Amino acid sequence: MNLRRAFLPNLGVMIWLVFFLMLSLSNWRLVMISADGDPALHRRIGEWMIENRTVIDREQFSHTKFGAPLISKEWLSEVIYAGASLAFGWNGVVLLAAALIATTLWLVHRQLLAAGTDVLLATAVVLLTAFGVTNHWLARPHLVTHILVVVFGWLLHDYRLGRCSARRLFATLPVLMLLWTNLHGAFFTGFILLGIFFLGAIFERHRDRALVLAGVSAACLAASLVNPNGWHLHAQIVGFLRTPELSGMVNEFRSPNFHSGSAHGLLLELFAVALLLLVVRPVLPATEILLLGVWGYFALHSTRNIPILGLVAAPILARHLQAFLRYPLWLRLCARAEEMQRSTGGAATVALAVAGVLLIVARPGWDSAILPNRVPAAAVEFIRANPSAVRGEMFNDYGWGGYLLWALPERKVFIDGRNDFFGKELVGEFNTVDETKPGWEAVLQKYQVGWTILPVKHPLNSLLVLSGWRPAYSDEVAIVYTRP
Amino acid sequence: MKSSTATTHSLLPSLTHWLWLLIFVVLISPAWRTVMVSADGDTLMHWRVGEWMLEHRQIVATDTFSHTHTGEPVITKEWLAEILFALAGRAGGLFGQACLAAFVIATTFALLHRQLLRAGNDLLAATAVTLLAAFAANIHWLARPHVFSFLFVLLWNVELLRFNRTRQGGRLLVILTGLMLFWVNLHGGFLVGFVLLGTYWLGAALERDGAKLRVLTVTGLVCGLASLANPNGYQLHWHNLEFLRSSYLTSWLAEYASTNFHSLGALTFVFWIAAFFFTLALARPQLTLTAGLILLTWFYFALTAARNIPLLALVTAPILAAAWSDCARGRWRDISNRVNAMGQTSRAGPLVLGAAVVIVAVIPKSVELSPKDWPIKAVEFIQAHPAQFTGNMFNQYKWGGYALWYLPEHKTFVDGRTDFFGEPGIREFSQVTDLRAGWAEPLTNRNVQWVMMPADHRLNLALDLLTNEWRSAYSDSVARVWSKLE
Repeated sequence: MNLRRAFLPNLGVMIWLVFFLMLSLSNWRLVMISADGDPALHRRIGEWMIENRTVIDREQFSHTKFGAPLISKEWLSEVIYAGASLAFGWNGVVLLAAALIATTLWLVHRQLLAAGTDVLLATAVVLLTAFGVTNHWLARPHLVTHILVVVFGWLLHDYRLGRCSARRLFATLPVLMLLWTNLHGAFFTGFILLGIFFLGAIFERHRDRALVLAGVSAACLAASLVNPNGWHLHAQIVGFLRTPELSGMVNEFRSPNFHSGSAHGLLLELFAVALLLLVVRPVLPATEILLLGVWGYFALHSTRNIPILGLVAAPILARHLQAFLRYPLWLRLCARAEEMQRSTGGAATVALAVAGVLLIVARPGWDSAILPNRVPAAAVEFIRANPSAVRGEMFNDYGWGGYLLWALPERKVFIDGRNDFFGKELVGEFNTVDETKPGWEAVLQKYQVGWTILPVKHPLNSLLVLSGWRPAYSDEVAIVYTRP
Repeated sequence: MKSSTATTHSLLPSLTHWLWLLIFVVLISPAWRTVMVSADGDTLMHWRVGEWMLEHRQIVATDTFSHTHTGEPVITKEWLAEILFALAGRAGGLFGQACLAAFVIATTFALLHRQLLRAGNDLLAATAVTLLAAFAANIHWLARPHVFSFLFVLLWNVELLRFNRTRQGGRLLVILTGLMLFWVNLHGGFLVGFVLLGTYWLGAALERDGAKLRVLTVTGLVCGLASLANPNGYQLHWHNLEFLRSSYLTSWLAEYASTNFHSLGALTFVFWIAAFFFTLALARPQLTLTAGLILLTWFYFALTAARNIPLLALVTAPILAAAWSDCARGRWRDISNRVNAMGQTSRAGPLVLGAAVVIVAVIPKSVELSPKDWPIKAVEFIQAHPAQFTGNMFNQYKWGGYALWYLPEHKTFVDGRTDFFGEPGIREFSQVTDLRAGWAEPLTNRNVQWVMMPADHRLNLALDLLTNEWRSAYSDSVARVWSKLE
């Protein structure tokens, strides 16, 4: 019986195993590190902090803002990712990201079961949530935010339903916020969740609950100040969100494009919520209406909020669908699944799976590398092999900045994914060149740019040719031009 | 005494009349009418095409407006609307076009209000929903043929709703067939009629209502046949579907893009979504299968392409009004019923129409296109120096319609007829404007002799560097015009 419990995974563990194995061993692992330049960016910054044994506070990687004071939004995550990469290279980054994603979904499953959802429905809702979250499965610090959203939501729901005491809330949420504020800039999400539950308590006329939530929020706010930059971190994030010139140039801050497959997850989430309202027609408490309404709006506003909507909607969907699913066949299936769930575990299998994956990725020949068709890998090799081929400073594509500062550490980039750090003025100058506006040459001159590295179809390439710049390297991904 | 009071009451405009007048007057106000005719170049493009048909007394069948596709067969999706707009243009210029669009839009929303009241909804709920629908729909209130699709979607849905209530299959068949005969010649959006019909058909199938299903099937088939009564027969349908299937072309056009919820304009859509979300969550109305299907399909269409938001508002308004009416109780309902009873006896339609005519006659009629958006001075320069601008033109996409109207002696490289130019035509144009490798080849291949582009466009930077090939002929803060050196 003990062996069965140790080796036979229950449905929650099965979810963890399926997603961990899929993400760490399939081609998805390559997408997770190649979809944009940020995994490389965070890895490089983290490695710098480990090498220098200090939290970064001055710019090191760009020539446009070299030495400028830096507010690090996610230093702890960057150090953890860099630690994984020092141990296993990109495989380490992939395994860490896969473990975070699998753990998020496992936690949602645990949350639903703890709230009384039957195991089959909980599994179905987790799979729906997983589909909604896929658009943001990238090996970057934001995965920590997904886990913490689940934990925050879980505790707040439990407190609202009387399953968790105010004391426990005071003991846990500020500690979690302290971690969150050092792990990822989206720690603001925690305050939005607290705000929603606070408003919900007011609408539901629970004055005591509202007071407790106000107190917990204040404690969390105090905890969030415990970071290397104190309140400056908060000011930088608010400033970034209030500057459309900055947030607008980041894909994940844009509204979803429903013509593309990346919005299918959101469509499914919205469809599920619509079916709940049209068919089940539950009596929703104010808190749940606010959670769905606010996060639904945020998801339409910015694609990066789609996963949060999925994670926040899961317990609401599960709770109300549970009351609806009273069909005898479903109940019979559930009874059988619950029995299996109780007699199974799978801790040993998890340990074996992790060990197996570590053995596989440690094999020579097994490599997780950034996809060469997404980044100028061959161009970088050329420059490293022929350092004299390019002189002066670099002008680079925005999306390639992270890759370049990691793959070509001896050169400094013009810009990378940290546009909150680069600020409105420099981003404006970058856009003048990138969007080939009048004045582009003056910007290149101002920053003593001697060479460019851009995608083949970039319009600037044609202007550089007409201005007499010489091609130093070209392939089907990138062209490098040097100043005459 | 009683009869004179009744006469006085019947001469008082109803709320529907007031709504019509309000929307009409707002739309012909100087600010709004300018937006309606100048938000893009298509108003002028349709006017030019319609004018050509009036002059030649025939429906356009081959291209005569662009030099890149001259003589190629044209499938005209909206010839009848183009003629109506051209007639309005002849009568009153751009002001006349704005008045026609305002008339159609105001009539659509007044009819929506009337439909909601006839369906037994509370007057205040119906009025609030109509205003909210108008607010949601205003993102696409432009003086172009698609405004007829607003009207026809409404009329089409009214008949389908009536059929759902009364089951008068004969009436449905006659009216929808009649509507389709006009719609298919007025605007390419006639396909929406079949989508709506299909939704009701699916609803009937899921409800296992055989009788309803039979009527809807026959009506769909007859309307399908009626839709062939257009100058291009089935090729029109094929052409429209091919266009919609091209993700390249639909991504090219801003109005086919998904809504950008960062923009202020998206607020109207957010309000409509919020109205439904809170209504479903708080009032928990019990909807029919068909109503549920309509909600799901049209919200999906509106999320996919912003141009569907007005259609979403028109088609789903009856569902919202019914839910809100169910919430109206007590004194609120009494006031509403009293005002509604007064409105029902109103015979003030002609009076309101007369007032609108007086307003149109009295107000100043000038419509000034913004000199910040349109190459007005550049075009004046070109007209004043015709010898400098001979041969083929390369123009900005949005300015194609403007050039068609104000420079009729020149043919465009491209204009708003994206479906006509097709993927190859638009890709060829983009190769130049995106400065892709070989960007100058289309200019050489098409023997382009002069170029007119917005002042901040990157193509100017490239031409500026080709001093031995191109000469700056005109420049201001809006436009630059280049001519090719011999």
